[in-house]
Amino acid sequence: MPENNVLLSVKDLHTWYELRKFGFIRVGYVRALDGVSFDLRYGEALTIVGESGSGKTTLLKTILGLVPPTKGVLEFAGKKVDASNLLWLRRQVGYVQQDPYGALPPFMNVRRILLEPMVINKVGRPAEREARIREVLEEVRLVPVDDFLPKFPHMLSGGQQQRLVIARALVLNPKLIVADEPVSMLDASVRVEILDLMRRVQKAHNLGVIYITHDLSTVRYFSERVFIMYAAKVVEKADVRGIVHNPLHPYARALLSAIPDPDHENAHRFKDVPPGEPPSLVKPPEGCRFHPRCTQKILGLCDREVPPEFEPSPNHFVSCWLYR
Amino acid sequence: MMGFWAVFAELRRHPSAMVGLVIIFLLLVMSIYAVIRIPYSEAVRLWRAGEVVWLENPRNAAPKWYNWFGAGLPETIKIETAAAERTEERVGESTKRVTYRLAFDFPYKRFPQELALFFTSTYTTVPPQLVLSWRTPDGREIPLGTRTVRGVERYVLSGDSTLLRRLGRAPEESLFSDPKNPEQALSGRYELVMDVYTFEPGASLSAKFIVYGRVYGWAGTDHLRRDLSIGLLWGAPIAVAFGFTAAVGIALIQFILSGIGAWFGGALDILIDRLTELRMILPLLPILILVGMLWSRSIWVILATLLMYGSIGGYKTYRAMFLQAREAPYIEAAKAYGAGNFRIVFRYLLPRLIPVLIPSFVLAIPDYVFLEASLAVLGIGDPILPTWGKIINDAYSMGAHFKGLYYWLLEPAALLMITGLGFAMIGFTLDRIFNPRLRSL
Amino acid sequence: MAERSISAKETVRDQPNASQFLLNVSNLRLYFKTTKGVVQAVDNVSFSLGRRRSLAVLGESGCGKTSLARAILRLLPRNIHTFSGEIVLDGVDLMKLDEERFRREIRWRKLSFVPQAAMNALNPVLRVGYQVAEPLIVHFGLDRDEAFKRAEEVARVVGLPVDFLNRYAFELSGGMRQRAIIAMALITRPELIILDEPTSALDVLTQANIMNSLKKIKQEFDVTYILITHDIATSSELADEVLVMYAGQLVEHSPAARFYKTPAHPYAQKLMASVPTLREDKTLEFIPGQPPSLINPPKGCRFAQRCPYRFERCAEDPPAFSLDGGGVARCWLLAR
Repeated sequence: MPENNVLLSVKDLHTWYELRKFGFIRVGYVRALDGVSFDLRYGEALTIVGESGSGKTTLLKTILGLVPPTKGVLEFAGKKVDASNLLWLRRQVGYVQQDPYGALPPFMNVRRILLEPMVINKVGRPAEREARIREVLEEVRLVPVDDFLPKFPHMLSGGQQQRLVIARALVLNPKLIVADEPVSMLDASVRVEILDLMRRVQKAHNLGVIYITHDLSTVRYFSERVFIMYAAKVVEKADVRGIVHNPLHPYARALLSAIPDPDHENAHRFKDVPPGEPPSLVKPPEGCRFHPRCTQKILGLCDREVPPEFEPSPNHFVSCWLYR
Repeated sequence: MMGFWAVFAELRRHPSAMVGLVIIFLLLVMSIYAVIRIPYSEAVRLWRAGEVVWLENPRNAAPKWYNWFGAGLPETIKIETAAAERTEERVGESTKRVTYRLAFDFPYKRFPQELALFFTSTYTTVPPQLVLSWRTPDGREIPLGTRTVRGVERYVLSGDSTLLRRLGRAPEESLFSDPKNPEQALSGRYELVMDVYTFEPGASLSAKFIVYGRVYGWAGTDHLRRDLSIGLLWGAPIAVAFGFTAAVGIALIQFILSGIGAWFGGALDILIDRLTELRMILPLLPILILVGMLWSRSIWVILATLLMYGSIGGYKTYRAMFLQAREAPYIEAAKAYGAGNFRIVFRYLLPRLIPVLIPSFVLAIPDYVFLEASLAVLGIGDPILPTWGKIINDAYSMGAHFKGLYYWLLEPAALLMITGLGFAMIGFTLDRIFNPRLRSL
Repeated sequence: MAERSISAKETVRDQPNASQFLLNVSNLRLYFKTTKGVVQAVDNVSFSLGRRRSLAVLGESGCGKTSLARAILRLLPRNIHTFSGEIVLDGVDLMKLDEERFRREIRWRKLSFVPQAAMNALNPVLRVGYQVAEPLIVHFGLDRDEAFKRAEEVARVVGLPVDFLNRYAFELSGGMRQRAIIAMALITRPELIILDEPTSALDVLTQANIMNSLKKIKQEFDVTYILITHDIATSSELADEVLVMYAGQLVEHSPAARFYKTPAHPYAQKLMASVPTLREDKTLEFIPGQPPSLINPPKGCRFAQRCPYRFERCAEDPPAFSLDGGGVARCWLLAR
């Protein structure tokens, strides 16, 4: 463990996808991730909030090693990650996906699903693997274990499927778990169970967790820190309390006012929401990417220069010229 | 995913599938029986042997069960000197006369097809001679002439033109006709009397007399006197093996190729796609004819050509399905925990579409069975193997449909249809079982 | 707590002007035949809805809320086992109409529908404008120009830029497609619009924008919504009344002002307790277990198995008890 206790370090990370016509004529890039930097410590939980097209999924895929970064530095457990050790990175990071049924191969039973990662990475001897499978099933409370081992995914409920996905993510003893909307496809009453489980597992193993969602209202049940992403960049970083009670970036403000709590008063009020849609990532706007929709923009500044990160209050960062 | 027994239990609920299963089961029994009873080399030998092996069968005889419908067709009767009444007499120094009375009952109203005598004589210098005469049930005696028998000989009485002229009518009819009803045969006990004169000590003659009937066996005979039931029997394993190998081989290769192409994409995908399109414009039949002409018409070569031709096909359909399947989250998850490309293709991608593969290759089996038969009917199939298509080919070229020998055409055709039906019924049911689940592909 | 227990049917009859209700549903039953048995998707549901009183139908997956919508719209699959009861829309019993009359007079004239995953419901080979205008051409026989003019009007109302009408579906973003679908549902000025998860697949800001548009439509036009969703927080944006379904049955129907603060039925209470809130710091609860199968539902109260307050009476199916401040809930706890 490196001295400063940092598990994952991301510096100026860019991930661009090539756009090709007819399969080989390059016509441009989709700048899906355009300059993101942060550190994550061991055992720390972080939520990344953003809408579709914000870059959160690409960030996740880059951290998982599924997509190589175009520019910038990604360091994991003190080691720099590049094309040569992508496989090593993949083994260290567990992945929990959004669709629990889709994430499980329908033709493999529970035992086989959990065995696969170990077989592929040549981890442990057969007896050790079986023991690990039992261990991890008990941890996610899919008990009695023997009942579940021969079952196929379609025989499990949504909540049970997601538990299995979490179990699979844990089976190789990763140091970091990345979860992409892990509860959005589950019923309301089951979501709590799963969020609970993830919190418990994280604390028990001192795991780093990056949780990606578009639903701000679940954040406080999950992590202390929150990043808000917009158009391939991180626009605000704060702890949950800070974001909810004192959102700084105009986009964060809009996001917060757009999320309803169940309250009948909502039916009598119109929400103050910026019009328009997130920008294209092929030709993003100049300067601050939110400026076309921002009601508080400073002409001449916001539409020309990319805002740097400011820290108006301790540990609360925002990339917005309003706070210069 | 359904396990094997789950599928079977599901099949049981569909009556058509059960019928199909029974048909396939019977076919398999037939095939195994054929292979065990008459091994491959033996079957080929028999089938291409020509007349020599089959001489004792009637030519173009109908199946025995025609008589269940009152056809009254005579069966073949064989009498041998070894079993016949024998009297011996010495006539002179070294001359011996042995009289054989070959007696038999002929209870039919229709005439036999042919009459033949098979002789085997042993001697040193002077061959035995014999005098033949015929006795009818109503006591008439008809002399049939004399012969000298040297070694192994076959004397076809019914084809003897001298005898024909003397009797005034074809021997097989005149020898049997009822004087009161000349168009019908007189039923009763007949005798062929053979006086055999040997001129040396140790010389002998044995004979077999065959009254050829008009029915034979379960399936009848063809123009070369071959027992059709052997051909039909052996047609089963050939049809099934050919159909199955072709269908499964082609389907599997197509499947794997599509999976690989769809997964890797890019240049490989485009290459296979173009190859498939190229193959689509090449016609199968001329290629098979060319191969047959220039190389070999053996069924193995046909099968190999078909495999090579067919494997580069069906790409677009499977590929479309694979392209969709490859976006599934569990595949991404597999990449995330370190699975390599080939493991993903073979263990995660291909198994997803096995429910599509299985019904489609079961349904393809009859296609290839019919293809083999069609090639045989057209005359470009394997010339030496007894297959159903070949039998139809023989029947057709010998004008069976003109000569009223319908059994010759209909028996192999019926077997082909039943086979096709069996596989089709199972295939369609499998499709119905597997398909609803595919809607959530 | 009610003073006496009354059945839901009595509730309706006791109301003075039953005809002031836009929609009266009585004893609606919808059962499906499946290979595994008879699924009781909607089991004896009764409620009334007043004009301009938008209703949110809440429940988790499999509770029957989508089947309820389909029953009202008569968009039914072929394997029906039972379809009985009364659905009276503006004085006309829909159950008594044959398919042809229903199609001509009711569907898309008095009643229209925004289906789930509506964005994929647009025809990819036709221009969006044509699809929005189509109901007018088909139902009212308007000519193309007149229909297109009305399409433009309604597009403005839903917040769809007019020049988008000339585009094809794939050229529009998710939010815009959803607006197009809403325009299609609105263009014949129906009295009742049923929306099934209209914003579930959209981004938060887009959702908020569309909710704004729906609120505007509600204010400016004489339209009543039935909103079907599992997202309780979003439902509060439109609902005047809330109906909660569980295992095919109606468990609570109460005014929104009351419901979101203090739901009456234990299931509704647990459901509210499991919804994360942004502004309020609360501990979330979850409901252990699973909803019962709809094929052989248990006798008595269907929630009893998972209910922390169950007692002996719950073995009997509870009737609907009326609540203070309006509404009903089916729970024995409310008796006496």
